[in-house]
Amino acid sequence: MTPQPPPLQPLLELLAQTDGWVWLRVLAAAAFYASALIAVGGVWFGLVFGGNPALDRATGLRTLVPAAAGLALVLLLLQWPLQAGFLGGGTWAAAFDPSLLALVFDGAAGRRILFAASGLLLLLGAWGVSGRWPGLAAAASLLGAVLVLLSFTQVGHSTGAPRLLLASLLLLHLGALAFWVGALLPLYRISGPSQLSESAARALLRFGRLASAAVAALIAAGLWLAWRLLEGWSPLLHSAYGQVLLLKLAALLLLLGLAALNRWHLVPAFAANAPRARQRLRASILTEIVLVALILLLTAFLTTTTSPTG
Amino acid sequence: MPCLRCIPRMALALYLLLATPHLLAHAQPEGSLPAHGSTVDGSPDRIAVWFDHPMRLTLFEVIGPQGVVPLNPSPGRDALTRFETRPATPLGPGNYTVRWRGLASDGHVMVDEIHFTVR
Repeated sequence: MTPQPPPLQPLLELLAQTDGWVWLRVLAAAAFYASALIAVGGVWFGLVFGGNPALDRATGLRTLVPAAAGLALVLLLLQWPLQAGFLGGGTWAAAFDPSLLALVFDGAAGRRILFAASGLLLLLGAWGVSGRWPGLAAAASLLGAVLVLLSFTQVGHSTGAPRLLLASLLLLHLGALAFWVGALLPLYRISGPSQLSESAARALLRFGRLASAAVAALIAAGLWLAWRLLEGWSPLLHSAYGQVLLLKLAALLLLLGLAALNRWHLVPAFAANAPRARQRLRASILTEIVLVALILLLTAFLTTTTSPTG
Repeated sequence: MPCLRCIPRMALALYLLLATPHLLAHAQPEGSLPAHGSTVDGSPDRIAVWFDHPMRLTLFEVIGPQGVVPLNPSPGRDALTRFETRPATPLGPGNYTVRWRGLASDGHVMVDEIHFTVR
């Protein structure tokens, strides 16, 4: 029987091995996830909840989506030399070594960059023409959002067979995630002005109904995927990957608790104009945003530093 | 019951997941020469690492008591499932670490260390 390491030893060893270069890659990946999901989710939000001019203005999506897309583009391009640098031993010379940059680009990572950059540029272009040609801007935004999501299917697990099924699943997963993450800032903003209370309450109630479906699918898929990745539950406690995943699950549980609190208590209270309901709901959404940031950071750490098989 | 309508979507998601036997097909190291944690008598004439899927090695170095060990050959950038090299000069007694980094065909960056001792 193999002796099990003391609790937390695998995680502490992993942290000890994580150097500054790796932390840079983790931070860049987490920030890219966040900005790309906010940009894509902003497009979803506009499609689902758009149409009320006052509400549309209050969401701030007209500046939020291009700002997030621009930031995501910068971070995407930053990840390229960071990856080359790591592959060459963690030096800046390696980061700008043309042969290593070409190696990264010549393959799955290059396809990811092309898809994501095209999508993000379309989102930026849509912002540029939205005043003159709103129909064209809407179509370009939708295409851009889909391309950004497709970029995630160019690397990692989803590149295995059966390709079409895996890519479809990942798109479903990321599309739902973007809907949730991308809605938080617009919901926070529209819940502020008192003159928008009625339309904001309608949007919040509708978001709660739609998010329930997305969250249920995310939980089911996440639990099954964790079990498959770890080949059982024991590595969840005794491997570095499992321990980081546990931290992520703990943050996710807190997030789900808040989402449930919003759905069944705070949003109905907001809709009923209950005392202090507005402040409580906005504080809860802000906490959700912080938890999402933590989850994306843990996800980036998980995918950058370790693998299920160690 | 707001979730009743999402059951078909959840069922589809679960079906897609369960129907994906190669979902977790990362390239992984399968073994090395000398083996990780082993002790060898005298300098090994070969140092090798092999994988279950093609890997493009970008860094392969052996570090011993005297620092970085010159190797012949160094890894190229071609995708391979086995890389084998020889120390340019015999390894003296001591602890050695093989460090490698590489890019798997699915775009994942892989990294590992192998430790062995020469007696």
